[in-house]
Amino acid sequence: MMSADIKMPLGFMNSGESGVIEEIRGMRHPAMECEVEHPHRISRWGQLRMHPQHANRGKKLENRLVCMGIVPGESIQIVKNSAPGPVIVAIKDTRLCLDRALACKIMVSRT
Amino acid sequence: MTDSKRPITVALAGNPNAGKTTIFNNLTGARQHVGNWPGVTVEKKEGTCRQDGRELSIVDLPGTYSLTAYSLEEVVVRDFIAAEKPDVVVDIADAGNLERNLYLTTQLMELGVPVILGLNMTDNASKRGIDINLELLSELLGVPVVPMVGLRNQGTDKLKETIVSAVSGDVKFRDVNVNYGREPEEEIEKLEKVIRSDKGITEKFLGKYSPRWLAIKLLEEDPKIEEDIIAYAADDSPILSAVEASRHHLSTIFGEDIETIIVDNRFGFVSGVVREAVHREREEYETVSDRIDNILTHRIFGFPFFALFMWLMFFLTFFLGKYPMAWIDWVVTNLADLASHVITSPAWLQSFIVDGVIGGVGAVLVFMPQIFIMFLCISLLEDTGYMARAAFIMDRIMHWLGLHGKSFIPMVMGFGCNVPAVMATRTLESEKDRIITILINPFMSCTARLPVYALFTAAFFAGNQGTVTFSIYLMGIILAVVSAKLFRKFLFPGESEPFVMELPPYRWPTAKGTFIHMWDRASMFLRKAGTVILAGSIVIWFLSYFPTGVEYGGTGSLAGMLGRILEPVFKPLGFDWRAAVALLFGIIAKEIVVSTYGTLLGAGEGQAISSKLQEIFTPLTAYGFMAFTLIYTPCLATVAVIRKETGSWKWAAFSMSYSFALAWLMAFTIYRLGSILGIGG
Repeated sequence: MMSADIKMPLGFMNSGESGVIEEIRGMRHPAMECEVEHPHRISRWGQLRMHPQHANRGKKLENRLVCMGIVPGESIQIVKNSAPGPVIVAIKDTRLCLDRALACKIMVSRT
Repeated sequence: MTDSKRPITVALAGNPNAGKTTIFNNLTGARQHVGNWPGVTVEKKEGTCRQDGRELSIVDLPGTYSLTAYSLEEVVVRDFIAAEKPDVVVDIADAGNLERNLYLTTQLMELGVPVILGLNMTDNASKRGIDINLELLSELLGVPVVPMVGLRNQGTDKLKETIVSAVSGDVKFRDVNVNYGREPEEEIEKLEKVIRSDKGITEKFLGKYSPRWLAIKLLEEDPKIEEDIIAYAADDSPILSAVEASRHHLSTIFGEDIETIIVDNRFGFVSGVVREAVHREREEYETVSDRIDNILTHRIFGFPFFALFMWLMFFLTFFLGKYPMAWIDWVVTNLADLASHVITSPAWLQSFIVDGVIGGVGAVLVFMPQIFIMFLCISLLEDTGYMARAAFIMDRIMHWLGLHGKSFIPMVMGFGCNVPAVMATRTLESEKDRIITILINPFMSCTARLPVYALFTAAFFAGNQGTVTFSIYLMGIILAVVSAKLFRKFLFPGESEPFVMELPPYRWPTAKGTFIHMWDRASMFLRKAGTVILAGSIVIWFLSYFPTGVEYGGTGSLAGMLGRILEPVFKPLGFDWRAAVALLFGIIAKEIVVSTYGTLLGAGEGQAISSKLQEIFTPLTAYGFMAFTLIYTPCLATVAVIRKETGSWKWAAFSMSYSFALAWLMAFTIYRLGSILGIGG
C-alpha cells in the first residue's frame, strides 16, 4: 500500500495522480501568534492556556480539514491542479477546492 | 409518555450540501418563517407540519461538519440542542458521502438526544453502485435510519412517522458511544466523576450536557466549554487540576495532542461502521459531476463560461424584466389616474394618494420583476452548485487583490442584495479577509439601486440604456477591486489565509426549492415597498406639500428648505436641492431615491418624471448622480448588518464615511472632467 516514494506536497502533483496523506504541515504555530490577553487564565490553567482566539487560529483550519476528511492515512486524488491557481481534490466521495498555499502544506506519498 | 397535545420539537441538523433545506421545505411547505438566531446573524428557519394528529415544530439548524467551538454555526447548533432539548434531532446525511456525514452524526449522538438519521439522495448513491445496508447501519449506530430522496419528495412521510413513533417510545434507541481507546476512556471516566462531584458544574450544566460529553470536550480543549467551566466551577474545584493532569497524562502517552487522538478515534468508529454497512459494487473514478467540471472549470474554457453565465444573468434581468414591468407600469399609471378622478376633494387628500402613495411606492414597485429575476438567477447559481466553481475560477484573480476565491461568492450575491451577501462572508475563515470582503461588498450594485439607473438612463440615455447601466456596474466592480487592494495594503497588511471549500456535486435545482430560496430574499423587497418606502414616500410628500399654499415640491416647501440647507454639499457636483433630499432619504433604502423623485415631481407616471428630470439634470450630471447613488453610504439595513458582522460600530462608520467620500470624489470628477471636455454638458 505505502510506496517507497518520498513525501511531496499535494500542490506539486499532477491532475489525475493519487496518493495517501502523510501529514499536514505548519498548521499549529500558536506560539507565533499568541499574546496573553487574559493572564489570570494562565494562572488558573497552569501552562496550558492561551487566549483561544489566538491559540486556535491554526486549529480552526485544521479542524475544517479534518471535518472534510483530510486526515493522515486517507487516500486522495488530484482531480485538477490548476497551478498557479487552486487544486481540486477527491477524498472519498467529496470534491474539495484547496488553495495553493494549503495544497503545499499537505504532504502526500504517491501511490 | 409525553403530553400528546404539546407539539413535538424537531431539530434538523446535517452537513452543508446534504440537502437539508430541500427536506425542510418538503416537511413544512409554505408554513415556515425565516429569522435570526438571537444575537447572531446566522439564519434561523422554523416551520410546522402535522402527523397523526400531532403537530411537529421543526427548526432548521445551520449546516455544519462537526460540533466544535471553532465556528459560530457549530456553536449555534450545539447550544440549541443542549438548551432547548428538542424531542428529536433529525440528522440529514448524504448517502453518497456517508463517512464524512456520519462524523457529525456521532457527535450529535454524543450530545445525548434521540437522533434519527435521514439518509438523503439514496437514488444517486445506488446509481453509483453504493449499496447501504440500512438495517445494519441502524443497528450499528443505535438510531433509526430513514432512506430519502429529497428532490423527489420521497421518504418525507416515513420520516414524519418515524419522528412520531420515536417520541411515543415505539422506536428503541440504543446507547452507542464512540470508544476513544483504553487510556482516553480511563481519563474520561475520571473526569466524569470529578464533574459529578462538583456542585457548581452539576447545577449549571447537567440539565444540558452529559458528564461524558463535558469530559470529552474538556479533553479536546474546547475553548467555549473551558471558559464556561472556569466561570462556574467552584474556586477550589478539583476539575481544573484533574483536566490538566489528564491532558498531560495522555499527551505523554501518545506524543500527540489529545484533540487529534479523539478525532482519530471518532473517525475510526465511523470508518468501521461504513466498512460494515456499505458495500461498493465498483470503484468509480469519474462521476457525472466530474465530467461537467472538466468543461466548466477548464483551464481555458472555464472563464468564458463563467462570463457567459454572468452575462446571461444580467441579460435575463433586463430583457425579460421589461415585459412585466410594462404591465405594472400600466396598472400604476391607471391607478393614479383613477384615484385622481375618484378623490377630488379635499385637494390635499388627492395629492397625498396620487403623488405621495401611488407616485412614491408605484415608482419602485415597477421594478419588482427585475429584482425577482435577479434573485432567481442568483438562487440558481447557488442551488446548482455552480457558485463554488465560480469561486474556483476566480481564485487567481482574487489572489491578486489579496483575497481568495471564496470571497467572490458574497460579491456575486451582492448584485442581489448586500445584506445576505455580507452575512455570506461567514464562510471565510480569516477575520481580515472577512472585513475586507464586507467593506467592498456595497460597491456591488444591488437590485435596490437598479430603479435609479433605469429611471435616469430612460430619461437621458434612451438610445444606449444597456451600455450606460453596464458602465455603472463596471464602475462598482472596479471601485471594489481598487478598495480591496487599498484595504489590504494599508488596513490589513499580510497574506490571505489558506482556504478549503467543498465543491458539491452539480444538482438539478427543483422548481419548489429555487422558488422558496428566491422568495426568501426577494419578498423582503415587497415588504420594504409596503413599509419603509411607503413611510418614506409619505414623509417626502408631507415635506413637499406643506406649509400649505406653497407650490407642491417647490423651493418654498419644507422639502425645498431642507434641500437648500444641504445644497452646498452637492452643488460642486452639479446636483440641485432635490437631489440632496433624494440622496438623504435614499440612505434609508436606495429605492427611495426614485420614489422621492416620484413624489417630488408629482404623479406616478414614468413619462412625466422623465421629462421633468430633463429640466433639472443634464446627461452629464445625470451620469454623475447615478455614480453617486451607486457608491455613496450603504442603506441602513446594510450598515446594520456590517455592524453586526464586524462586531463594532467602527467598521460600520468607516464604511459609511469612506463610501460617501468616494462617491463625492467620483461624482465631482465626472462633472468637472465632463464639463472641461464638453461631454453631455
